[in-house]
Amino acid sequence: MEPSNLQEVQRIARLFSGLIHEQLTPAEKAELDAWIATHPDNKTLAHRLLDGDYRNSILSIWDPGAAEASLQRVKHRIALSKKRTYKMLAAAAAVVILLTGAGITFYQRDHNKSHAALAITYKNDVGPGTDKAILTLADGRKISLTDAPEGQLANPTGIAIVKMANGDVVYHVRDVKPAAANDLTPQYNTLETPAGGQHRIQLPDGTYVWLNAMSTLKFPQNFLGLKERIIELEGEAYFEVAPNKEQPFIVRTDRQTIEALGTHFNIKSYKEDRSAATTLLEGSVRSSDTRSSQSSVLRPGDQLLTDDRNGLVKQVDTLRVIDWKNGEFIFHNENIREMMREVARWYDVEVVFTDNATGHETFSGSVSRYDNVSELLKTLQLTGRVHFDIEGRKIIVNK
Amino acid sequence: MIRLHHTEVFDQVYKTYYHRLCFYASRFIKADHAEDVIETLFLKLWNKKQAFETEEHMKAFLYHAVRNACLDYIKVSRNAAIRHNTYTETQAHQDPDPLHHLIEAETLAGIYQAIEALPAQCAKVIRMSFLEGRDNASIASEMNLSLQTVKNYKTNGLIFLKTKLPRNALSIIVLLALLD
Repeated sequence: MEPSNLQEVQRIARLFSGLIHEQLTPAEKAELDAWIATHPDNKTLAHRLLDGDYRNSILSIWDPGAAEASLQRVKHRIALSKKRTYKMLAAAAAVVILLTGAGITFYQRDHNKSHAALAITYKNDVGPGTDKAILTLADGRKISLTDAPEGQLANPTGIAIVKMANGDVVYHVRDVKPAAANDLTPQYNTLETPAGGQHRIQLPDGTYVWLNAMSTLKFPQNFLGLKERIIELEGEAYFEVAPNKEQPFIVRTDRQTIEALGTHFNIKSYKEDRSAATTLLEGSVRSSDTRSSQSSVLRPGDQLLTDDRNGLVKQVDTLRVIDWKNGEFIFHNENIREMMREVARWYDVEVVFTDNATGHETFSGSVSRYDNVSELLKTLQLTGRVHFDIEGRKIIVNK
Repeated sequence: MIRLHHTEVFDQVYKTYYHRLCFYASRFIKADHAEDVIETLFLKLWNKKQAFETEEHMKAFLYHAVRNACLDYIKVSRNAAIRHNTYTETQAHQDPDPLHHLIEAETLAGIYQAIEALPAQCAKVIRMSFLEGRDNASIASEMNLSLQTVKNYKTNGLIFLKTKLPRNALSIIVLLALLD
Protein backbone atom coordinates (compact mmCIF):
# COMPACT_ATOMS: atom_id res chain seq x y z
CA MET A 1 0.00 0.00 0.00
CA GLU A 2 1.25 3.49 -0.85
CA PRO A 3 1.66 5.73 2.20
CA SER A 4 -0.39 8.42 0.43
CA ASN A 5 -3.26 5.94 0.15
CA LEU A 6 -3.11 5.18 3.84
CA GLN A 7 -3.19 8.86 4.66
CA GLU A 8 -6.32 9.26 2.56
CA VAL A 9 -7.86 6.19 4.19
CA GLN A 10 -7.19 7.56 7.66
CA ARG A 11 -8.47 11.01 6.77
CA ILE A 12 -11.78 9.68 5.39
CA ALA A 13 -12.14 7.23 8.28
CA ARG A 14 -11.66 10.06 10.75
CA LEU A 15 -14.24 12.19 8.99
CA PHE A 16 -16.71 9.29 9.11
CA SER A 17 -16.19 8.63 12.82
CA GLY A 18 -16.38 12.38 13.43
CA LEU A 19 -19.72 12.50 11.64
CA ILE A 20 -21.00 9.51 13.60
CA HIS A 21 -20.02 11.18 16.89
CA GLU A 22 -21.49 14.52 15.75
CA GLN A 23 -18.30 16.47 16.05
CA LEU A 24 -17.41 17.63 12.53
CA THR A 25 -16.90 21.29 11.70
CA PRO A 26 -18.94 22.55 8.72
CA ALA A 27 -15.76 22.57 6.61
CA GLU A 28 -15.00 18.93 7.48
CA LYS A 29 -18.60 17.96 6.76
CA ALA A 30 -18.30 19.62 3.33
CA GLU A 31 -15.03 17.77 2.69
CA LEU A 32 -16.65 14.42 3.44
CA ASP A 33 -19.71 15.21 1.33
CA ALA A 34 -17.47 16.10 -1.59
CA TRP A 35 -15.60 12.80 -1.24
CA ILE A 36 -18.84 10.82 -1.08
CA ALA A 37 -20.07 12.55 -4.24
CA THR A 38 -17.00 11.64 -6.31
CA HIS A 39 -17.97 8.01 -6.90
CA PRO A 40 -21.08 5.81 -6.57
CA ASP A 41 -18.99 3.26 -4.63
CA ASN A 42 -18.17 5.96 -2.09
CA LYS A 43 -21.86 6.57 -1.68
CA THR A 44 -22.50 2.87 -1.05
CA LEU A 45 -19.78 2.86 1.61
CA ALA A 46 -21.17 5.99 3.28
CA HIS A 47 -24.63 4.46 3.32
CA ARG A 48 -23.30 1.37 5.05
CA LEU A 49 -21.13 3.17 7.61
CA LEU A 50 -23.82 5.66 8.59
CA ASP A 51 -26.27 2.84 9.29
CA GLY A 52 -26.12 2.39 13.08
CA ASP A 53 -27.59 -1.12 13.01
CA TYR A 54 -24.94 -2.27 10.55
CA ARG A 55 -22.14 -0.75 12.65
CA ASN A 56 -23.45 -2.25 15.86
CA SER A 57 -23.82 -5.67 14.28
CA ILE A 58 -20.08 -5.63 13.60
CA LEU A 59 -18.89 -3.83 16.72
CA SER A 60 -20.86 -6.19 18.95
CA ILE A 61 -18.61 -9.00 17.66
CA TRP A 62 -15.48 -6.93 18.32
CA ASP A 63 -15.11 -8.21 21.85
CA PRO A 64 -11.93 -7.14 23.72
CA GLY A 65 -11.97 -10.58 25.39
CA ALA A 66 -11.74 -12.26 21.98
CA ALA A 67 -8.69 -10.15 21.12
CA GLU A 68 -7.07 -11.11 24.43
CA ALA A 69 -7.86 -14.81 23.88
CA SER A 70 -6.36 -14.69 20.40
CA LEU A 71 -3.26 -12.94 21.78
CA GLN A 72 -2.84 -15.75 24.31
CA ARG A 73 -3.04 -18.33 21.50
CA VAL A 74 -0.27 -16.52 19.64
CA LYS A 75 1.86 -16.42 22.78
CA HIS A 76 1.31 -20.11 23.28
CA ARG A 77 2.53 -20.75 19.73
CA ILE A 78 5.54 -18.49 20.34
CA ALA A 79 6.38 -20.46 23.49
CA LEU A 80 6.10 -23.75 21.60
CA SER A 81 8.40 -22.58 18.83
CA LYS A 82 10.93 -21.34 21.42
CA LYS A 83 10.96 -24.72 23.11
CA ARG A 84 11.71 -26.44 19.82
CA THR A 85 14.53 -24.02 19.01
CA TYR A 86 15.99 -24.52 22.47
CA LYS A 87 15.99 -28.30 22.19
CA MET A 88 17.81 -28.08 18.86
CA LEU A 89 20.31 -25.60 20.28
CA ALA A 90 20.97 -27.73 23.34
CA ALA A 91 21.55 -30.79 21.20
CA ALA A 92 23.80 -28.84 18.85
CA ALA A 93 25.75 -27.33 21.74
CA ALA A 94 26.32 -30.72 23.32
CA VAL A 95 27.58 -32.17 20.06
CA VAL A 96 29.91 -29.24 19.38
CA ILE A 97 31.49 -29.48 22.80
CA LEU A 98 32.02 -33.23 22.42
CA LEU A 99 33.67 -32.74 19.04
CA THR A 100 36.05 -30.05 20.17
CA GLY A 101 36.89 -31.96 23.31
CA ALA A 102 36.92 -28.77 25.33
CA GLY A 103 35.51 -29.46 28.73
CA ILE A 104 33.55 -32.53 29.74
CA THR A 105 30.05 -32.93 28.50
CA PHE A 106 27.19 -34.94 29.78
CA TYR A 107 23.98 -35.01 27.86
CA GLN A 108 21.21 -37.39 28.44
CA ARG A 109 17.75 -38.11 27.10
CA ASP A 110 15.22 -39.92 29.26
CA HIS A 111 14.91 -42.90 26.97
CA ASN A 112 18.48 -43.68 26.02
CA LYS A 113 20.27 -44.36 29.26
CA SER A 114 23.54 -46.01 28.46
CA HIS A 115 24.54 -49.36 29.91
CA ALA A 116 27.49 -47.72 31.58
CA ALA A 117 25.15 -45.41 33.48
CA LEU A 118 23.03 -48.37 34.57
CA ALA A 119 26.14 -50.00 35.97
CA ILE A 120 26.65 -47.16 38.44
CA THR A 121 24.72 -47.68 41.67
CA TYR A 122 24.44 -45.74 44.90
CA LYS A 123 23.50 -46.87 48.38
CA ASN A 124 20.32 -44.85 48.28
CA ASP A 125 18.68 -42.11 46.21
CA VAL A 126 17.00 -38.74 46.76
CA GLY A 127 13.86 -37.63 44.91
CA PRO A 128 13.52 -34.23 43.26
CA GLY A 129 12.00 -31.15 44.86
CA THR A 130 8.28 -30.41 44.55
CA ASP A 131 5.86 -27.46 44.68
CA LYS A 132 6.13 -26.52 48.33
CA ALA A 133 5.92 -23.19 50.17
CA ILE A 134 4.60 -21.37 53.21
CA LEU A 135 2.47 -18.26 52.76
CA THR A 136 2.46 -15.81 55.66
CA LEU A 137 -0.42 -13.33 55.72
CA ALA A 138 -0.34 -9.74 57.03
CA ASP A 139 -1.93 -10.87 60.32
CA GLY A 140 0.87 -13.39 60.85
CA ARG A 141 -1.19 -16.45 59.93
CA LYS A 142 0.90 -19.11 58.14
CA ILE A 143 -0.57 -21.34 55.43
CA SER A 144 1.21 -24.44 54.12
CA LEU A 145 0.44 -24.37 50.41
CA THR A 146 1.24 -28.06 50.01
CA ASP A 147 -1.45 -29.10 52.47
CA ALA A 148 -4.07 -26.42 51.73
CA PRO A 149 -7.03 -27.64 49.65
CA GLU A 150 -7.81 -26.13 46.28
CA GLY A 151 -9.99 -23.01 46.52
CA GLN A 152 -10.05 -19.86 48.62
CA LEU A 153 -7.23 -19.69 51.18
CA ALA A 154 -8.00 -16.32 52.74
CA ASN A 155 -9.83 -13.09 51.99
CA PRO A 156 -8.24 -10.01 53.54
CA THR A 157 -9.92 -6.67 52.69
CA GLY A 158 -10.53 -6.30 48.97
CA ILE A 159 -8.58 -9.44 48.03
CA ALA A 160 -9.27 -13.12 47.51
CA ILE A 161 -6.28 -15.50 47.80
CA VAL A 162 -7.02 -18.66 45.89
CA LYS A 163 -5.17 -21.91 45.32
CA MET A 164 -5.83 -23.01 41.74
CA ALA A 165 -6.23 -26.56 40.45
CA ASN A 166 -2.62 -26.54 39.18
CA GLY A 167 -1.38 -25.48 42.62
CA ASP A 168 -0.67 -21.85 41.69
CA VAL A 169 -1.61 -19.20 44.24
CA VAL A 170 -3.54 -16.30 42.74
CA TYR A 171 -4.37 -12.96 44.36
CA HIS A 172 -7.66 -11.66 42.98
CA VAL A 173 -8.55 -8.01 43.52
CA ARG A 174 -12.21 -8.05 44.55
CA ASP A 175 -12.70 -4.36 45.24
CA VAL A 176 -11.11 -1.80 42.95
CA LYS A 177 -11.44 1.20 45.25
CA PRO A 178 -9.52 1.53 48.50
CA ALA A 179 -11.87 1.51 51.48
CA ALA A 180 -10.20 4.31 53.41
CA ALA A 181 -7.01 6.34 53.40
CA ASN A 182 -5.49 4.38 56.27
CA ASP A 183 -5.82 1.24 54.15
CA LEU A 184 -3.09 2.66 51.92
CA THR A 185 -0.30 1.48 54.22
CA PRO A 186 0.89 -1.64 52.47
CA GLN A 187 0.11 -4.93 54.23
CA TYR A 188 2.92 -7.35 53.51
CA ASN A 189 2.55 -11.04 52.75
CA THR A 190 5.47 -13.45 52.44
CA LEU A 191 5.94 -16.53 50.29
CA GLU A 192 8.77 -18.77 51.40
CA THR A 193 10.10 -21.96 49.80
CA PRO A 194 12.24 -24.49 51.71
CA ALA A 195 15.13 -26.49 50.27
CA GLY A 196 13.55 -28.91 47.79
CA GLY A 197 10.61 -26.60 47.17
CA GLN A 198 9.43 -24.20 44.50
CA HIS A 199 6.19 -22.33 43.90
CA ARG A 200 4.34 -20.06 41.51
CA ILE A 201 2.22 -17.08 42.48
CA GLN A 202 0.18 -14.46 40.69
CA LEU A 203 0.35 -11.12 42.50
CA PRO A 204 -2.72 -8.83 42.74
CA ASP A 205 -1.53 -6.75 39.74
CA GLY A 206 -1.39 -9.84 37.49
CA THR A 207 2.39 -10.22 37.69
CA TYR A 208 3.47 -13.86 37.66
CA VAL A 209 6.38 -15.02 39.81
CA TRP A 210 8.18 -18.38 39.87
CA LEU A 211 10.03 -18.84 43.15
CA ASN A 212 12.95 -21.28 43.23
CA ALA A 213 14.05 -23.33 46.25
CA MET A 214 15.16 -21.65 49.51
CA SER A 215 13.77 -18.28 48.50
CA THR A 216 11.59 -15.64 50.10
CA LEU A 217 9.32 -13.14 48.36
CA LYS A 218 7.78 -10.28 50.33
CA PHE A 219 5.03 -8.28 48.62
CA PRO A 220 2.10 -5.98 49.49
CA GLN A 221 -1.15 -7.98 49.49
CA ASN A 222 -2.74 -5.15 47.47
CA PHE A 223 -1.04 -2.58 45.21
CA LEU A 224 -4.07 -0.30 45.17
CA GLY A 225 -3.21 3.34 45.83
CA LEU A 226 0.52 2.64 46.10
CA LYS A 227 2.90 4.80 44.06
CA GLU A 228 5.18 1.86 43.31
CA ARG A 229 4.91 -1.91 43.39
CA ILE A 230 7.83 -2.76 45.67
CA ILE A 231 8.78 -6.41 46.19
CA GLU A 232 11.60 -7.84 48.27
CA LEU A 233 13.42 -11.00 47.28
CA GLU A 234 15.99 -13.27 48.77
CA GLY A 235 16.99 -16.29 46.69
CA GLU A 236 15.92 -16.84 43.09
CA ALA A 237 12.77 -15.87 41.21
CA TYR A 238 11.60 -15.37 37.65
CA PHE A 239 9.20 -12.46 37.04
CA GLU A 240 6.69 -11.81 34.28
CA VAL A 241 5.60 -8.32 35.20
CA ALA A 242 2.14 -7.03 34.28
CA PRO A 243 2.63 -3.69 32.52
CA ASN A 244 1.45 -0.61 34.37
CA LYS A 245 3.42 2.53 33.64
CA GLU A 246 1.66 4.43 36.43
CA GLN A 247 3.06 2.05 39.03
CA PRO A 248 6.68 1.02 38.44
CA PHE A 249 7.50 -2.53 39.52
CA ILE A 250 10.56 -2.64 41.76
CA VAL A 251 12.38 -5.67 43.14
CA ARG A 252 14.87 -5.17 45.94
CA THR A 253 17.49 -7.68 47.01
CA ASP A 254 20.31 -7.04 49.43
CA ARG A 255 22.66 -6.31 46.54
CA GLN A 256 20.52 -5.02 43.66
CA THR A 257 17.43 -2.94 42.92
CA ILE A 258 15.56 -3.68 39.71
CA GLU A 259 12.95 -1.36 38.22
CA ALA A 260 10.76 -2.79 35.47
CA LEU A 261 7.98 -1.51 33.28
CA GLY A 262 6.49 -4.81 32.11
CA THR A 263 9.12 -7.37 31.33
CA HIS A 264 10.45 -10.85 31.95
CA PHE A 265 13.54 -11.26 34.09
CA ASN A 266 15.26 -13.61 36.48
CA ILE A 267 16.94 -12.62 39.72
CA LYS A 268 19.32 -14.94 41.53
CA SER A 269 20.44 -13.54 44.85
CA TYR A 270 21.34 -16.19 47.42
CA LYS A 271 23.32 -14.93 50.40
CA GLU A 272 25.62 -17.97 50.22
CA ASP A 273 26.55 -17.22 46.57
CA ARG A 274 29.49 -14.94 45.80
CA SER A 275 27.50 -12.76 43.42
CA ALA A 276 23.91 -11.79 42.63
CA ALA A 277 22.66 -11.90 39.04
CA THR A 278 19.74 -10.24 37.27
CA THR A 279 19.07 -11.47 33.75
CA LEU A 280 16.65 -9.83 31.34
CA LEU A 281 14.71 -11.99 28.87
CA GLU A 282 12.27 -9.48 27.41
CA GLY A 283 11.63 -5.74 27.57
CA SER A 284 13.95 -3.49 29.51
CA VAL A 285 14.75 -2.88 33.17
CA ARG A 286 16.82 -0.37 35.08
CA SER A 287 18.97 -2.07 37.64
CA SER A 288 21.14 -0.55 40.28
CA ASP A 289 23.63 -1.61 42.88
CA THR A 290 21.87 -1.30 46.22
CA ARG A 291 24.91 0.22 47.99
CA SER A 292 26.61 2.37 45.34
CA SER A 293 23.26 3.13 43.59
CA GLN A 294 25.18 3.00 40.32
CA SER A 295 22.59 2.10 37.69
CA SER A 296 22.45 0.59 34.22
CA VAL A 297 19.72 -0.25 31.71
CA LEU A 298 19.61 -3.90 30.67
CA ARG A 299 18.63 -5.18 27.21
CA PRO A 300 17.25 -8.65 26.52
CA GLY A 301 20.01 -11.22 27.04
CA ASP A 302 21.96 -8.94 29.40
CA GLN A 303 22.95 -10.09 32.85
CA LEU A 304 24.01 -7.79 35.66
CA LEU A 305 26.38 -9.56 38.01
CA THR A 306 27.04 -7.89 41.34
CA ASP A 307 29.63 -9.23 43.77
CA ASP A 308 30.94 -7.72 46.97
CA ARG A 309 32.87 -5.03 45.16
CA ASN A 310 31.33 -4.15 41.81
CA GLY A 311 28.79 -4.80 39.08
CA LEU A 312 29.33 -6.08 35.56
CA VAL A 313 26.92 -6.38 32.61
CA LYS A 314 27.43 -9.17 30.06
CA GLN A 315 25.38 -11.10 27.49
CA VAL A 316 24.41 -14.61 28.59
CA ASP A 317 22.43 -17.60 27.36
CA THR A 318 19.08 -16.85 28.97
CA LEU A 319 17.76 -20.40 28.61
CA ARG A 320 20.50 -21.53 30.93
CA VAL A 321 19.50 -18.89 33.46
CA ILE A 322 15.85 -19.97 33.60
CA ASP A 323 16.55 -23.71 33.24
CA TRP A 324 15.10 -24.24 36.72
CA LYS A 325 11.78 -22.69 35.71
CA ASN A 326 11.65 -24.94 32.65
CA GLY A 327 12.31 -28.04 34.73
CA GLU A 328 15.91 -28.60 33.71
CA PHE A 329 19.48 -28.30 34.81
CA ILE A 330 21.52 -26.76 32.03
CA PHE A 331 25.21 -26.29 32.66
CA HIS A 332 27.80 -24.75 30.41
CA ASN A 333 31.39 -24.91 31.59
CA GLU A 334 29.96 -24.73 35.07
CA ASN A 335 32.17 -25.18 38.09
CA ILE A 336 31.34 -28.34 40.09
CA ARG A 337 31.03 -26.42 43.35
CA GLU A 338 28.47 -24.01 41.88
CA MET A 339 26.56 -26.90 40.33
CA MET A 340 26.43 -28.76 43.60
CA ARG A 341 25.06 -25.68 45.41
CA GLU A 342 22.06 -25.77 43.06
CA VAL A 343 21.76 -29.52 43.58
CA ALA A 344 21.77 -29.01 47.35
CA ARG A 345 18.99 -26.43 47.20
CA TRP A 346 16.73 -28.41 44.86
CA TYR A 347 17.24 -31.91 46.29
CA ASP A 348 17.45 -30.68 49.87
CA VAL A 349 20.73 -32.48 50.43
CA GLU A 350 24.03 -31.68 52.06
CA VAL A 351 27.05 -31.76 49.74
CA VAL A 352 30.49 -32.64 51.08
CA PHE A 353 33.70 -32.41 49.06
CA THR A 354 36.38 -34.87 50.20
CA ASP A 355 39.96 -33.66 50.44
CA ASN A 356 41.01 -35.15 47.13
CA ALA A 357 38.14 -33.54 45.16
CA THR A 358 39.64 -30.55 43.37
CA GLY A 359 36.40 -28.62 43.00
CA HIS A 360 37.80 -26.98 39.89
CA GLU A 361 36.29 -29.32 37.31
CA THR A 362 33.81 -27.78 34.88
CA PHE A 363 30.96 -29.58 33.14
CA SER A 364 28.49 -28.87 30.33
CA GLY A 365 25.19 -30.52 29.50
CA SER A 366 21.58 -30.82 30.56
CA VAL A 367 19.35 -33.21 32.52
CA SER A 368 15.78 -33.08 33.81
CA ARG A 369 15.25 -31.48 37.19
CA TYR A 370 12.42 -33.89 37.94
CA ASP A 371 14.59 -37.02 37.96
CA ASN A 372 16.09 -38.45 41.14
CA VAL A 373 19.44 -36.98 42.07
CA SER A 374 21.19 -40.22 41.04
CA GLU A 375 20.41 -39.49 37.36
CA LEU A 376 22.39 -36.27 37.48
CA LEU A 377 25.22 -37.80 39.51
CA LYS A 378 25.51 -40.84 37.22
CA THR A 379 25.81 -38.71 34.11
CA LEU A 380 28.49 -36.60 35.75
CA GLN A 381 30.31 -39.68 37.02
CA LEU A 382 30.35 -41.17 33.48
CA THR A 383 32.86 -38.52 32.50
CA GLY A 384 35.34 -40.28 34.78
CA ARG A 385 36.43 -37.02 36.38
CA VAL A 386 34.33 -37.20 39.52
CA HIS A 387 32.73 -39.83 41.77
CA PHE A 388 29.81 -39.61 44.16
CA ASP A 389 28.44 -41.44 47.16
CA ILE A 390 24.99 -40.89 48.60
CA GLU A 391 24.57 -41.45 52.33
CA GLY A 392 21.06 -40.60 53.46
CA ARG A 393 20.61 -36.98 52.42
CA LYS A 394 24.34 -36.38 52.14
CA ILE A 395 26.21 -36.42 48.82
CA ILE A 396 29.94 -37.00 48.98
CA VAL A 397 32.05 -35.73 46.08
CA ASN A 398 35.27 -37.68 45.40
CA LYS A 399 37.83 -37.39 42.69
CA MET B 1 10.78 3.01 16.71
CA ILE B 2 8.04 0.51 17.44
CA ARG B 3 9.71 -2.77 18.33
CA LEU B 4 7.24 -5.61 18.18
CA HIS B 5 9.66 -7.92 19.97
CA HIS B 6 8.94 -6.08 23.25
CA THR B 7 6.21 -8.00 24.99
CA GLU B 8 4.28 -4.96 26.13
CA VAL B 9 4.47 -3.35 22.70
CA PHE B 10 3.47 -6.60 21.04
CA ASP B 11 0.49 -7.04 23.35
CA GLN B 12 -0.69 -3.49 22.85
CA VAL B 13 -0.35 -3.59 19.06
CA TYR B 14 -2.07 -6.96 18.94
CA LYS B 15 -5.05 -5.84 20.99
CA THR B 16 -5.28 -2.55 19.09
CA TYR B 17 -5.16 -4.10 15.62
CA TYR B 18 -6.69 -7.54 16.10
CA HIS B 19 -10.33 -6.76 15.29
CA ARG B 20 -9.77 -4.39 12.41
CA LEU B 21 -7.33 -6.79 10.74
CA CYS B 22 -9.74 -9.71 11.22
CA PHE B 23 -12.48 -7.57 9.72
CA TYR B 24 -10.27 -6.63 6.77
CA ALA B 25 -9.22 -10.26 6.21
CA SER B 26 -12.85 -11.39 6.40
CA ARG B 27 -13.52 -9.26 3.31
CA PHE B 28 -11.35 -11.76 1.42
CA ILE B 29 -11.75 -15.07 3.25
CA LYS B 30 -14.15 -16.64 5.79
CA ALA B 31 -14.08 -15.09 9.26
CA ASP B 32 -12.86 -18.20 11.10
CA HIS B 33 -9.93 -18.49 8.71
CA ALA B 34 -9.27 -14.76 9.02
CA GLU B 35 -8.42 -15.19 12.68
CA ASP B 36 -5.84 -17.85 11.91
CA VAL B 37 -4.26 -15.63 9.25
CA ILE B 38 -3.82 -12.81 11.80
CA GLU B 39 -2.37 -15.11 14.46
CA THR B 40 0.12 -16.64 12.03
CA LEU B 41 1.14 -13.21 10.78
CA PHE B 42 1.91 -11.93 14.29
CA LEU B 43 3.79 -15.11 15.18
CA LYS B 44 6.03 -14.43 12.18
CA LEU B 45 6.47 -10.76 13.10
CA TRP B 46 7.53 -11.74 16.62
CA ASN B 47 10.05 -14.30 15.40
CA LYS B 48 11.46 -11.82 12.89
CA LYS B 49 11.77 -9.18 15.65
CA GLN B 50 10.00 -6.78 13.32
CA ALA B 51 10.36 -3.07 14.07
CA PHE B 52 8.74 -0.04 12.44
CA GLU B 53 9.82 3.57 12.12
CA THR B 54 6.36 4.98 12.79
CA GLU B 55 2.85 3.80 13.55
CA GLU B 56 1.83 4.81 10.00
CA HIS B 57 4.44 2.46 8.55
CA MET B 58 3.29 -0.31 10.81
CA LYS B 59 -0.35 0.15 9.92
CA ALA B 60 0.36 0.18 6.17
CA PHE B 61 2.54 -2.90 6.57
CA LEU B 62 -0.06 -4.83 8.59
CA TYR B 63 -2.92 -4.25 6.17
CA HIS B 64 -0.70 -5.07 3.23
CA ALA B 65 0.59 -8.26 4.87
CA VAL B 66 -2.93 -9.39 5.81
CA ARG B 67 -4.14 -8.88 2.26
CA ASN B 68 -1.22 -10.89 0.83
CA ALA B 69 -1.72 -13.64 3.38
CA CYS B 70 -5.41 -13.86 2.43
CA LEU B 71 -4.60 -14.04 -1.27
CA ASP B 72 -2.06 -16.79 -0.55
CA TYR B 73 -4.64 -18.58 1.52
CA ILE B 74 -7.17 -18.42 -1.31
CA LYS B 75 -4.57 -19.74 -3.76
CA VAL B 76 -3.62 -22.65 -1.53
CA SER B 77 -7.19 -23.62 -0.67
CA ARG B 78 -8.20 -23.33 -4.30
CA ASN B 79 -5.39 -25.69 -5.32
CA ALA B 80 -6.42 -28.07 -2.58
CA ALA B 81 -10.01 -27.82 -3.71
CA ILE B 82 -9.03 -28.65 -7.27
CA ARG B 83 -7.03 -31.63 -6.07
CA HIS B 84 -9.85 -32.88 -3.91
CA ASN B 85 -12.51 -31.82 -6.33
CA THR B 86 -14.39 -29.98 -3.61
CA TYR B 87 -16.18 -26.72 -3.27
CA THR B 88 -13.86 -23.75 -2.84
CA GLU B 89 -14.08 -20.62 -0.71
CA THR B 90 -16.22 -17.92 -2.30
CA GLN B 91 -15.02 -14.38 -2.54
CA ALA B 92 -18.38 -12.76 -2.10
CA HIS B 93 -16.97 -9.63 -0.53
CA GLN B 94 -14.53 -8.66 -3.23
CA ASP B 95 -15.65 -5.12 -3.87
CA PRO B 96 -14.19 -3.03 -6.69
CA ASP B 97 -11.96 -0.83 -4.53
CA PRO B 98 -10.00 -2.47 -1.68
CA LEU B 99 -9.38 0.97 -0.22
CA HIS B 100 -13.03 0.94 0.83
CA HIS B 101 -12.40 -2.07 3.05
CA LEU B 102 -9.63 -0.13 4.72
CA ILE B 103 -11.77 2.96 5.25
CA GLU B 104 -14.48 0.77 6.74
CA ALA B 105 -12.05 -1.08 9.02
CA GLU B 106 -10.44 2.17 10.18
CA THR B 107 -13.78 3.91 10.83
CA LEU B 108 -15.08 0.99 12.90
CA ALA B 109 -11.73 0.78 14.71
CA GLY B 110 -12.00 4.47 15.62
CA ILE B 111 -15.38 3.89 17.27
CA TYR B 112 -14.21 0.68 18.96
CA GLN B 113 -11.18 2.40 20.45
CA ALA B 114 -13.21 5.34 21.67
CA ILE B 115 -15.39 2.91 23.63
CA GLU B 116 -12.42 0.94 24.94
CA ALA B 117 -10.81 4.19 26.15
CA LEU B 118 -13.72 4.63 28.60
CA PRO B 119 -13.35 3.39 32.20
CA ALA B 120 -13.82 -0.40 32.14
CA GLN B 121 -17.29 -0.57 33.75
CA CYS B 122 -18.59 2.29 31.65
CA ALA B 123 -17.25 0.70 28.43
CA LYS B 124 -18.98 -2.53 29.33
CA VAL B 125 -22.32 -0.80 29.89
CA ILE B 126 -21.99 1.09 26.60
CA ARG B 127 -21.21 -2.13 24.73
CA MET B 128 -24.10 -4.03 26.25
CA SER B 129 -26.64 -1.31 25.76
CA PHE B 130 -25.77 0.27 22.42
CA LEU B 131 -23.99 -2.53 20.59
CA GLU B 132 -25.88 -5.54 21.90
CA GLY B 133 -29.16 -3.70 22.40
CA ARG B 134 -29.72 -4.91 25.98
CA ASP B 135 -32.12 -3.04 28.28
CA ASN B 136 -31.00 -1.22 31.44
CA ALA B 137 -32.58 -3.70 33.85
CA SER B 138 -30.81 -6.75 32.42
CA ILE B 139 -27.48 -4.89 32.35
CA ALA B 140 -27.96 -3.78 35.96
CA SER B 141 -28.67 -7.31 37.15
CA GLU B 142 -25.81 -8.91 35.18
CA MET B 143 -23.24 -6.36 36.31
CA ASN B 144 -24.58 -6.12 39.83
CA LEU B 145 -25.19 -2.36 39.53
CA SER B 146 -28.15 -0.17 40.43
CA LEU B 147 -30.43 0.94 37.61
CA GLN B 148 -29.36 4.54 38.22
CA THR B 149 -25.66 3.67 37.91
CA VAL B 150 -26.32 2.01 34.56
CA LYS B 151 -28.13 5.14 33.38
CA ASN B 152 -25.27 7.35 34.59
CA TYR B 153 -22.68 5.25 32.79
CA LYS B 154 -24.71 5.51 29.59
CA THR B 155 -25.10 9.28 29.81
CA ASN B 156 -21.50 9.96 30.82
CA GLY B 157 -20.14 7.45 28.33
CA LEU B 158 -21.98 9.09 25.44
CA ILE B 159 -20.81 12.57 26.47
CA PHE B 160 -17.27 11.29 26.66
CA LEU B 161 -17.51 9.60 23.26
CA LYS B 162 -18.76 12.79 21.66
CA THR B 163 -16.09 15.02 23.12
CA LYS B 164 -13.06 12.79 23.10
CA LEU B 165 -12.76 10.71 19.99
CA PRO B 166 -9.12 9.72 20.19
CA ARG B 167 -6.98 10.89 17.30
CA ASN B 168 -3.94 8.87 18.15
CA ALA B 169 -4.95 5.62 19.72
CA LEU B 170 -1.45 4.30 20.18
CA SER B 171 -0.04 6.94 22.49
CA ILE B 172 1.26 4.26 24.85
CA ILE B 173 3.19 2.56 22.08
CA VAL B 174 4.78 5.85 21.12
CA LEU B 175 5.81 6.29 24.72
CA LEU B 176 7.31 2.82 24.94
CA ALA B 177 9.09 3.38 21.66
CA LEU B 178 10.77 6.45 23.11
CA LEU B 179 12.34 4.31 25.81
CA ASP B 180 14.50 2.60 23.20
